Amino acid sequence: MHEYGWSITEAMSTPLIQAFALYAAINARYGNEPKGPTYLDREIQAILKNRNDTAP
Amino acid sequence: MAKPTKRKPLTKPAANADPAAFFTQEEADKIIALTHGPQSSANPAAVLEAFIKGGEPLVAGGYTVPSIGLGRYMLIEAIKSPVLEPGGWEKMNNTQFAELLFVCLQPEAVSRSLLAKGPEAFSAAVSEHADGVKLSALQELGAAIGIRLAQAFSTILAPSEKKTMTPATAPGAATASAGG
Repeated sequence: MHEYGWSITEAMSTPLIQAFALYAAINARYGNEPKGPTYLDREIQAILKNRNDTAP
Repeated sequence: MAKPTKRKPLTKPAANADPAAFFTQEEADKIIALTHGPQSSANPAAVLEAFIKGGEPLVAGGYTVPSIGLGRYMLIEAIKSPVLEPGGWEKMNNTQFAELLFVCLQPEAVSRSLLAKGPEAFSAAVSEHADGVKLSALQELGAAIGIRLAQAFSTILAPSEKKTMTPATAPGAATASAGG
C-alpha cells in the first residue's frame, strides 16, 4: 500500500469487496494469472445459475 | 516406469443431439454479449456495485452501523461524548459509551425526541438499549463507530494526496513511495 501512497487508516477502512476488486486489477496489470474465478467467470456463472433456478 | 495411461477417446456428440439440453439461445446470447459484445470492455457489474454503492454495510455485534452525517454528529455533540476530544476513547466510561452507541445506532429522530423530553427519558432509553448489547461485542462496536467517524471526516472531494504510479516504475522502486 505504501507504493500507492495510502495511509493506514485509509487502507484499513476500505471495504473488503473493494479491496478484492483492486487486488484483481493489480494482478491483471502485472499480467499475473488470476486466482479463482474472474469477474467475467462469475457473471457467466450467475447467468447459468439463474437459468437453473428458473428451470422447471 | 508406470504403464502409460490410456486417454479416453473424445466422445463426439451425436449428430442429432438436442440443443435445448445445453444452452438456450437467450443464455448463449447473454454470455456472448458479455464476452464479445459492447459490455466486454466495461467494468464488471460486481466491481461497479462495490465502488458506487460504497461497499458492504458496516456490521458489528449484530447491528448495522450507519454512516455519520451532520445530524448524527450534532447529536454526538449534544450528549457531550468524550469521543470528540483527543484521547477521549480511553477516558470513556460505560455510561458514555452506551449513550454513544444509542445515538449511533438508533435513528436520529428517535434520539432527538428523547433528548427533547429530558435527560431522564434519554437515559432510560439508553439503558433499555444497552440491555440488549453483548459485552463481547463492545470492542467491535467501538471500532465500527471509530471507522464511521474517520469516514465522516475523510475528504472525498478534496484533491487526492495519493501518488499516482507511473507505468514505467518497477513495483519495488523506492522512488515511488518516497514520503508516502
